[in-house]
Amino acid sequence: MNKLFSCILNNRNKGQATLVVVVLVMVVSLAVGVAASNRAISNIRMAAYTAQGDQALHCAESGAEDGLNKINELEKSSFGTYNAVLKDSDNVDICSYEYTISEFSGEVLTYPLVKQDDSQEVNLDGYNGSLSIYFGSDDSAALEITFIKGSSPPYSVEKYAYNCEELYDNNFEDGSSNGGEDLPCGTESFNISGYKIARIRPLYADTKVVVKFGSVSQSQGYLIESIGSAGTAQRKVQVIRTNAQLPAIFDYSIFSASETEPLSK
Amino acid sequence: MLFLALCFFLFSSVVFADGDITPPTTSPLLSPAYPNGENGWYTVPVDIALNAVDLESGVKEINWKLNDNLWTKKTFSQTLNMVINSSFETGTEGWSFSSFNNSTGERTNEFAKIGDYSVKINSLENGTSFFTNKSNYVVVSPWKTVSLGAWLKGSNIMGDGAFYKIYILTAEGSKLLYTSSVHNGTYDWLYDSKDVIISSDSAYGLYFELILQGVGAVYFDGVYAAYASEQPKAEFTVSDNGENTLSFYSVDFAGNIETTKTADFKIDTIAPTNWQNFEAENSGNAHTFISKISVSDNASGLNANSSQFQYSPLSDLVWGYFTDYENCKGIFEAGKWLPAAVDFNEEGLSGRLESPSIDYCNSNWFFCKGNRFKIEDFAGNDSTKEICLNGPWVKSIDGDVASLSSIDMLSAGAEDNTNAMVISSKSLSNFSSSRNWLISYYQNKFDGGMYSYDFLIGEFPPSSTIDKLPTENGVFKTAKTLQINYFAIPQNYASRQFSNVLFVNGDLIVLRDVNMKDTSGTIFVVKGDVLVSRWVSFLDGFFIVGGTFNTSYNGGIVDNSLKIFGGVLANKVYLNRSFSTFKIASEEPSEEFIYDPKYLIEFTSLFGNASIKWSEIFE
Repeated sequence: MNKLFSCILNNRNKGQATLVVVVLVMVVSLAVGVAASNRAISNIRMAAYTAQGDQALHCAESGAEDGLNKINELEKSSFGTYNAVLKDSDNVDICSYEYTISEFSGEVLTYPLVKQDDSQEVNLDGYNGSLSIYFGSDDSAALEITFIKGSSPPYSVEKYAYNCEELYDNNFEDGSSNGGEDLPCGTESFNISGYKIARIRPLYADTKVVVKFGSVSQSQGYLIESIGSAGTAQRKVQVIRTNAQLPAIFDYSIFSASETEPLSK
Repeated sequence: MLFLALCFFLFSSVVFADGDITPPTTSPLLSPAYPNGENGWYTVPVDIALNAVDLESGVKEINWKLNDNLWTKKTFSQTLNMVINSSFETGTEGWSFSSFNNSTGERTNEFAKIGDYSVKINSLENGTSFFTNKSNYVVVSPWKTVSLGAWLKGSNIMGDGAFYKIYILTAEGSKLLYTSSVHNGTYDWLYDSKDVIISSDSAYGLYFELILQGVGAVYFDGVYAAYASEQPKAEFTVSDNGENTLSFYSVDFAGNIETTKTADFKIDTIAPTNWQNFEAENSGNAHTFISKISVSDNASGLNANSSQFQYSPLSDLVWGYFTDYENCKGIFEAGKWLPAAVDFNEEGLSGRLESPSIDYCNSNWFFCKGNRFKIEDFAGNDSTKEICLNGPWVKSIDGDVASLSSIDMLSAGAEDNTNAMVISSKSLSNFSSSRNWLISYYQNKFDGGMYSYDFLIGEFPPSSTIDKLPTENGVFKTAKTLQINYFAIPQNYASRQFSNVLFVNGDLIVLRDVNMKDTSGTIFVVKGDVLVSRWVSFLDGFFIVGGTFNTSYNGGIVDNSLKIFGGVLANKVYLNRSFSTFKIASEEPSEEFIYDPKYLIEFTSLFGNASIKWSEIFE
């Protein structure tokens, strides 16, 4: 290195030194250029992959929409696997999807999100065995569970209520020691026999709900699993279409909806 | 040369940052400034402004959290104080002192708010003295908003007091722009700040005068001027009831992190509530009773010395007490109160109030014999509860009860009002559940739009228009108001088998009992009101009502209760019935809502919808 600098600084070798400087500048420029182009290529690749990922997701959603239409038309005859390729106006492939329609049942049923004050109904007709319900993806949530029992009217009603955290003065049971299925809270294990349905209603917050049966449950509706592909990207969506159910307001005997007039007597 | 320039560019921020080793100072300003309730409690939400000051590199971020919540951060792009030597750490350079004979002005480390030094003006005689930075003014642009401030600490100040003035420098000379509040007496460090507009086309600078006008001593520190858009301040409101701890700290652009500070304050915005479990215990003749009721306050707790009682024994509803209240004799002390005994729980958050033994003078139970309890919480919020000794009450079986407003019952029955859940979006008073599932001040996510007549008739279109109660399966509508009278109830209605929905395009006026088989049912969707006659005793159906559900629209005093088998959702629910005799009122509810789950089972194909839940699966 010392030699190099002395070479550069030596007036007698001025021409040689100039050549060395020029070569150095070129090498540095080349390195910077290569690095920049690699970065640019990487960015382009990343952008392309992101775009493909978005396309794949949209395609998976298109497949699921198609599946929902099939369920509406064919009901249980829709069970099966379907695929299609989506093309643009020039008949060039954009993306493809493949989806499967099956029965939504099993020993463990996951409802990704049940909204606060909505009710999620679970079909228990004909099921005999244990049942546990897990919740608390938002640990400020609480659950009310209403079981309807009997084979024909008049049906009877059983109710349970659980907090996840001790946040409220509502006299609900503490569900924090019953967690499972990756959720922090749960109900006791119910012994189910002669029940028609369970109505699960979160209070205070939305929450994921997992219902665990002792054996395979009755049908709770339809499950669509759809995979979308675009280039090298793949995305998968799952759609649960539950059995028809009445809205949460049918859990009440009195609901006064005025925000100004009290329910009074 | 290029190399040096590059080095300077890359490392300049580090060089500048290295010069600032003092972290910012953050101060909370609460509004109201002092607790407006009693015993150090706020009874209103508290507005909080966290003001951060960093006189060197400037405040980069303010962080805060309430109790155990997550930290919240507010960041700032630039917050540099434009005042040079603003906390007098390097002497009094840039500042000059103007005094009269017997005043002194000096830099001191006696007290300091920012860093180690401040300036002190001390005067034994009335006069005006001040420090000014006129010769080292702050450069500003016309019509910009500038945040100005200074810390002051006073000691025995009398006269006009301590304050500061802001002048702007213009082509025409100095002009007074702002005069701060005047602070007299003895006080700890306070921050007096103001946003002002540089209101002159030719303004090019501003300067401070830190003034003592009178006698005493004042310390000034942390003199501040920065463009307002860059003012390091975080503002928010806390409404959490209970004892709160606010933690906060700031970080400056040099990376200096302020030690976390805390501010404690207590909020109780809710008066004692949950008046529940009223009971009247006979304690003498047929009209002598001791009344008891429970109440709670979950924030500050109940104040034992504030519990009071008065009553209204006659039909005139004048409140007070007879001086010989055990015998209904003496003078009636209108408007006055008797002390009520209280039995508290361990924490003092709830208690049971008990009246003295009261003779209500006669056995005319047709009129309400009123009791009125009153109690305060420790924050000073008071609550009264009026309750009829012999009043009508409502019962609900198996179904939940909810109100998007408050739930407030005047009377209590022989049993709990329900065996299910009770949810009130405001206060909840004298409505009991055998499970004690009582929720007040609940933020209900009920979506009323989903249950409007117009929405539902679009979702479930009727197949035909009828003018009487339907006995077929399906969805039907009426063209107008429907009166359920003799002609509107088909023959053998009570023994027919059907599941149907009836949209009533008007009011539903119920003049006769509506009885159905256990296995039959009708969902009534009513655009207007449901008006139930006082003569009706039984009503089958689930009612979704856009207007009012009135249990006795043609007079409230009846001898028969109303039993509703199904459920009611209405914009307003008027529980209008009351009985004419004490015996019935105490033992039998005037309205009984018996929840019928058959609608959940039998009506899914007619009035149900599938829910569709989407999620992306990551494998």
